[in-house]
Amino acid sequence: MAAIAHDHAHDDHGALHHQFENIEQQNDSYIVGMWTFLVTEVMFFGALFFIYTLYRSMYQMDWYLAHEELDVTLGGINTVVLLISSWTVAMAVRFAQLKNRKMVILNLLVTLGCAFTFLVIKAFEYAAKFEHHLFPGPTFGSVPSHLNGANSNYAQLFYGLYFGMTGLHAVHILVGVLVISALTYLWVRKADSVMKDYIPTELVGLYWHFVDLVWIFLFPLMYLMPKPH
Amino acid sequence: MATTPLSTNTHGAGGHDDHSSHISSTGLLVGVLLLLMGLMGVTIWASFIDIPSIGPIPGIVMNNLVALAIATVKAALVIWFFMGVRFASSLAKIWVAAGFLVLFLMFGIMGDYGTRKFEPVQGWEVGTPVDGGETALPRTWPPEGRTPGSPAIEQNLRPR
Repeated sequence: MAAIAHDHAHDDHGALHHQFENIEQQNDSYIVGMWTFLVTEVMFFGALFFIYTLYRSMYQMDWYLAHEELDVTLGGINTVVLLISSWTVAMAVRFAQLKNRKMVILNLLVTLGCAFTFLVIKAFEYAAKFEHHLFPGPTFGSVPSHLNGANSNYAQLFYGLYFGMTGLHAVHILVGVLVISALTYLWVRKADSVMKDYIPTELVGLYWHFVDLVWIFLFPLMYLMPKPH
Repeated sequence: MATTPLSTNTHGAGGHDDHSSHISSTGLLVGVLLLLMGLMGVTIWASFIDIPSIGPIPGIVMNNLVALAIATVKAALVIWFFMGVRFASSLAKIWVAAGFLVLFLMFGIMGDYGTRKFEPVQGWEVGTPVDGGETALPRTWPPEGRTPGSPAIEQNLRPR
């Protein structure tokens, strides 16, 4: 397998554009450019993680009680789903480098399937929270049994960040679905832009891994709070 | 090569004839996936355990540190192997590291919040009935006190 990989590896790049010295510089520019975007995303989510850290340190017990309403099983399943999708994207990039079109499409389709699964599970979780009046708003906490004894206002702060952060993450999943769909379409149409150059697939992959990265931190912070002791 | 500041990676130094990208083997990617799944299991398990305090560090902080350490290892695995940073040029590596370094520095703002209680001049948080300290909550308390004529309004507390 490694030998095959090596044989194909030398021609997996696109045409060299005039402003670049060589293909390494060209590919490096793409990668650094994409990471520049991802770093802005890190800061974007980072501010929310900071708010989370601040308020959780202030209202540990209330947040712990409030978080008990979240379903660790569903959160865990979603984590597995996202990890698998991250792997299939990595495989898609690998097959893009090897110019194995069928396997690229297969892996991208599995990724899309994982993204939809994630969103469906998330929708069920959100629906239950709305039903229990745990969405921040005038009727928040009107079913006290779902607050588990937590102060309603501090719990509301927790759910504000829960919906804010997981919602923003879900928006990123939606954007990922659009971008991966477009990429899959290009592969299905045998477009030169993706067939002759693995970089577009690689860049979409970087974005999707970032979405996975955010969830890797969201899952333990939202679903797996340790009991204050 | 002297005029190509971006191509600092030693792997691609051979120029046009050398292969420009590196391909991860299926075995490695599967291994990383299984490792990530295993770490997810460990972090779920660890969250249900009351880790004892170590020295001056309380147990709850230990729990949080363990959870964040595992998440950081998982993130590093994704960045290094799935995102292919191990094959990236030195420039891209520094770029990535700088992004996370700035994130780390931003958390230094926590120090500011930690010193608020030492302020010689009392801030706007004075008189919050709940715990006497700063809160993100509206100064009217309890929430139903927001209606005109309520004690909160008479005490000139800031409405929501």
